[in-house]
Amino acid sequence: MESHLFGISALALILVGLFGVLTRKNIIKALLALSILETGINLALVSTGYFEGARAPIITRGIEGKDFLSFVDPLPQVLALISIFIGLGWAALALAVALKYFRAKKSLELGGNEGGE
Amino acid sequence: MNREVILLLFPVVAGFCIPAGTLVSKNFGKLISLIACLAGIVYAVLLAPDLLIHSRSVIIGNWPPPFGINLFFSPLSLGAALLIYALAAFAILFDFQYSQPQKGQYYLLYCLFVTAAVGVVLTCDIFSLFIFLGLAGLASSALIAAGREHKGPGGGLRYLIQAQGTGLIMLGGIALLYGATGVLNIAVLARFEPLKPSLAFLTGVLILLPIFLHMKLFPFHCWVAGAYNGATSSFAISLSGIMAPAGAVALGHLVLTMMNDESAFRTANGRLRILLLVIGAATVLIGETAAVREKNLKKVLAYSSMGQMGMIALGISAANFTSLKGVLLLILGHSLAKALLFLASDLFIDKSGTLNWQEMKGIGRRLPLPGSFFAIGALSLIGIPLFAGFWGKLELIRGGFSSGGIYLVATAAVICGTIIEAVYLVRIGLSFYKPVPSPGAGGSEQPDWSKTGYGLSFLLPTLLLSAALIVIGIAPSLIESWLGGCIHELLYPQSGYVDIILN
Repeated sequence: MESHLFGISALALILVGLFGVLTRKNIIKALLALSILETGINLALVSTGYFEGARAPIITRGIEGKDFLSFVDPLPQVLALISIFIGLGWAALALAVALKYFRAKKSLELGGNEGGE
Repeated sequence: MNREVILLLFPVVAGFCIPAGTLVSKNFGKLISLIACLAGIVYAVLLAPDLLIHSRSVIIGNWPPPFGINLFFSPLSLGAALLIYALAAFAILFDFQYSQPQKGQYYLLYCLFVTAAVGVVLTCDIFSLFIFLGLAGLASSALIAAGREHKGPGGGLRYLIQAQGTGLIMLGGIALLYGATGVLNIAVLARFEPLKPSLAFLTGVLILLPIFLHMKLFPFHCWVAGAYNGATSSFAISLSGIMAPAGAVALGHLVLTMMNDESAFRTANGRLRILLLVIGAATVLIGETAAVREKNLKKVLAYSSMGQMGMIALGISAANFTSLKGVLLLILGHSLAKALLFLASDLFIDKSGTLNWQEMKGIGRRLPLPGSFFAIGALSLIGIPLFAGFWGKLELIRGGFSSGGIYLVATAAVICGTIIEAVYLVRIGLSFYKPVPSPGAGGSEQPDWSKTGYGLSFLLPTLLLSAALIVIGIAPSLIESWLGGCIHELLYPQSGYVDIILN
């Protein structure tokens, strides 16, 4: 049940994010939508390593053999963490470029002929 | 440490040195980036004799596949890395005299861009590919935004949003793939239990999307005009000559290696190739048609680049010996010719003060040297015999006939694209060589540019690029053995790429 919940939540976030990216022309709204999309994708990624009743993958003394099978897969969590870092870089850069765009155009609306002659 | 990995490290080291070095000299960033690229060229040449005979897989951190990350050094990846470093060096060299002054941070981002592009051609892991594509997109957006004052930020933002969006969709595909198989290594997936057809198709499409974006394939081409128009000419060379071929090599590895007939994607690889065929044909027609209608010279070259990338996608979808030979020759010919065209165009734009090619009448006569370079680049791009582009297009057309059936679409699209390309490039060339009244001879007064001097930073790259286009055009047999190694790697992954990585 929990894994289904993960999947449904991730899908909902992805759809909301995609809708925003495809329909918003305001730069800030488009970046917010991208952020929502990213959260959904990261949730989907983490959910691939999860199974019901699993424990956090923290190895302590006395854990051996079959105990390892009760952990969730840590790799998707690592991948999601890297993805979050990349997303942070993207967001910072996007806001910096948006500021430069605003200074040049006095607007945050991304028109149909950006960079056009 | 494996000595091959050093090939990837030159721009990384240069990037780390730039912040401190810029405090000493404002030209430090430019200089160290150029040195890093030249070091990359020299190192790639030193590695070549060994790697052209024996491809090697380098395991990072002693974690063998499928657990760790590995890089694959082969004729294809080494050749692509050499091309990337060479074009990056030419672009930086051109900056020394002709582009607007840039801060040290610009070259730091440029080093990141070059590292990411080399990483894209070397990596054998889909998640690393996602990271390298993400880094390339991030650096590209910032470099475009740092271009022309009022055009750069808009072009950069448009590219940024699309690159991040497709990157995240690729990550979704990676999540689906990892959930179904538990592995992300290309070689392991190339010899794996089959996935369900619908899952294989969906995952395959999601993973390919950012590559489509970097190759400017339809429908992910909306950023092209704004980005090229906003970027400096030296970075336009990089977008067209570096990122597009890096994407093409990655596309070849994904479609022909990871999705081969014994892979996890075997249940959907036929449909994925047909999808690539349709996208490639649409890209050729849309790109070339847009170029015909365009007046802005930089945008014309951008749309032409899009058309060429569509032809490369068509060749990969046909996937036979001849078409892949055409793909490799076209990648090489396009990168060299487009760099030459952008370098010559930058001088035209600078002198005439306009981006509209119709307002540059006679500029080829008044600036004969850049005019000749433009003509050489244009003739190669069209595919005229004795220039490198001819062999690429000829082999692509023959490749489409060899595959037959639906792949005849590829042949038709390449022929149509070439005709349209010839129409607009010849039209522009004729306009550039239109007779104009000489200064002081009556008629409209034209400035005298006959005594224009050209610096080494213009002459060296343009002469080398022109020579390469003509030498390959006259004697393609010089690179025959390298081409053979690359085609073998793509066409028979099980006996080469996969065996070397897994054993």
